[in-house]
Amino acid sequence: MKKIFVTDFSEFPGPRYINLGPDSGELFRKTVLLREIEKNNGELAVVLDGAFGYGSSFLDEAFGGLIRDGVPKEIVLKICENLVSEEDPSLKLEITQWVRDAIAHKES
Amino acid sequence: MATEPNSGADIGSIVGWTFAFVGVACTLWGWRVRGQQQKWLAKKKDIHDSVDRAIKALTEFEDCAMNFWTEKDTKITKHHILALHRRLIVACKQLSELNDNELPNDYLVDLRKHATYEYDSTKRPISSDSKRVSSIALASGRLLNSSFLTKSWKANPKPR
Repeated sequence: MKKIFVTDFSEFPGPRYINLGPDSGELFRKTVLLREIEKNNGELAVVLDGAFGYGSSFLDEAFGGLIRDGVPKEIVLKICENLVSEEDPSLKLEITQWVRDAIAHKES
Repeated sequence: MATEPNSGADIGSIVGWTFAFVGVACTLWGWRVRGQQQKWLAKKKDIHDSVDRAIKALTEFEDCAMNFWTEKDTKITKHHILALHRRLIVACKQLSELNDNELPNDYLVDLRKHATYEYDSTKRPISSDSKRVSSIALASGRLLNSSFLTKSWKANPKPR
């Protein structure tokens, strides 16, 4: 399983959209997550530790955005299960909530 | 040859040694109990100090988030909010380690969501009676009133 360190992308994760500022959730999804999912067939462990902190919009856009981009929910939920967040265990719960919200919205 | 019966001096010696052994055993047991009590009290004090630190971190986070959203010329930035949320997480993790209760992750998620969701794109200040402000206060109050942040002399209170 490929490990992806968010800190390789940025130590200061930014806003939701690219047009709102640097190191956005949208940029992380497009340049890191989607590419790595394709390369590794969804076998990813995203390491969240080491970054300054995450705004909720970044988390929603980066991970919930995968569902809105058409990535199969089984793959995204597996990525949620494999999240590594020793420093802030609540991040794993929040990301899973955003993904489930996106799934519910898409299926409604 | 018939054995001679024990003399009064021998019986007195046995009784004396028995009392001595019982006395030493009682003293050792007393020391052990006292040591356990002192250790338990020290641990409880650590837990209560840790509760105080977590409550302080929570109230700082709440005040800062309120100020960020409602004050027109606030000096609070989104980085302050993230830094204070991290301090709150660290304080809660420390407490969780000491009292063996699970982290109140759902409350911590609610606090971050209400304080940071769309904070880059939402126009500020917002009204002090807006839904976001109420939600921050509500989430903060729920964590504050939870058993996770309640001081107790019970052996190990159940979380929430």
